[in-house]
Amino acid sequence: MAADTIYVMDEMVVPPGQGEAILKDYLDSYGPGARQRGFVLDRVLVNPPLWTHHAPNTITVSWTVQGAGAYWNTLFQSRNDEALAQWWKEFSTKLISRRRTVHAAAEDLKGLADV
Amino acid sequence: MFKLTLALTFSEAAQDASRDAITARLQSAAAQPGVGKHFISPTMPNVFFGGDVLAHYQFADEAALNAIAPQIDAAFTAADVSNVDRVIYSGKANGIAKPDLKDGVYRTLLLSVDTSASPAAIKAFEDDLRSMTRHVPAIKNWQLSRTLSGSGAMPWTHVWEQEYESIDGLMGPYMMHPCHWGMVDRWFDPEFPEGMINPRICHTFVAAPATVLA
Repeated sequence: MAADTIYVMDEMVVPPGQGEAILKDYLDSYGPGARQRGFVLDRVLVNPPLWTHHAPNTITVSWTVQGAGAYWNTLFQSRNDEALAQWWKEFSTKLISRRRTVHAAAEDLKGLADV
Repeated sequence: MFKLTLALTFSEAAQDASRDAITARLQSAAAQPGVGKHFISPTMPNVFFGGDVLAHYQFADEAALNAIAPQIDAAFTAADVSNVDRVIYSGKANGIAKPDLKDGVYRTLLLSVDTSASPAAIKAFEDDLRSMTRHVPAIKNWQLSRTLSGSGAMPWTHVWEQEYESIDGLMGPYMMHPCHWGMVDRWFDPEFPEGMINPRICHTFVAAPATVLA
């Protein structure tokens, strides 16, 4: 049976006029390591759906990983990575705010909890 | 009730005889009047910075703890051990689902919350941890405590104890339930803005002939 998909989403509120550059920075500097740890880029969403110069954009980057074991594996790699923690500290200063959230499809919740 | 837990990591120079003598002295301290439930046990494989021996003592009150603690601390010297994680905390089990648990596994997690964490964040973290016991029936008995003192590799701020019927409960349901990796873990993860717990934790567990929490 295939493992359930887990979605890890970074939601970043970026200053007006900087969305495109900040997204490129994120994908170029964070993306390779995330992929190496096991994340697969699912999609990148932008709200409102244009790069704005008078108000913030909210960028949502969705990563996927297949199953809890694979997700733990990514965490074991990142948890004690001081360079990564420092990268987040510095990158966060470019943002107005950010959230990271973990999701699963509603129909998968029962299976995920059956451990 | 007051509790003292030590996770000892022997130095490489400590010979087997020295290790046995330390364990015997820790055991001897437990025989003193005023010591309640206790154990001095080798840690099980796959602990994470969990030490070689876990020693746990319970006392009816602070005076009893203060009377015995010097003897416990004198059971080893700096040359014998490379690290000693030591916590003192109070209280009793917050949940007891299996008061007659025998031949199970006792697990404790020592963790250190950043000093910059807000009281609201600490409370939210503690609420998340407690909620795990509703989602993971394999956790039979448990206690979450703020430390009165914590020292060693980190200034430990919290003690998260659970008892299981077997190691499978810890390695399986506890680790793999989404309440752990999808909810609680954010507090431990520097990739989350909520991350406020130092990644250097002390995750340790021992075979438990009888419950010490219930």
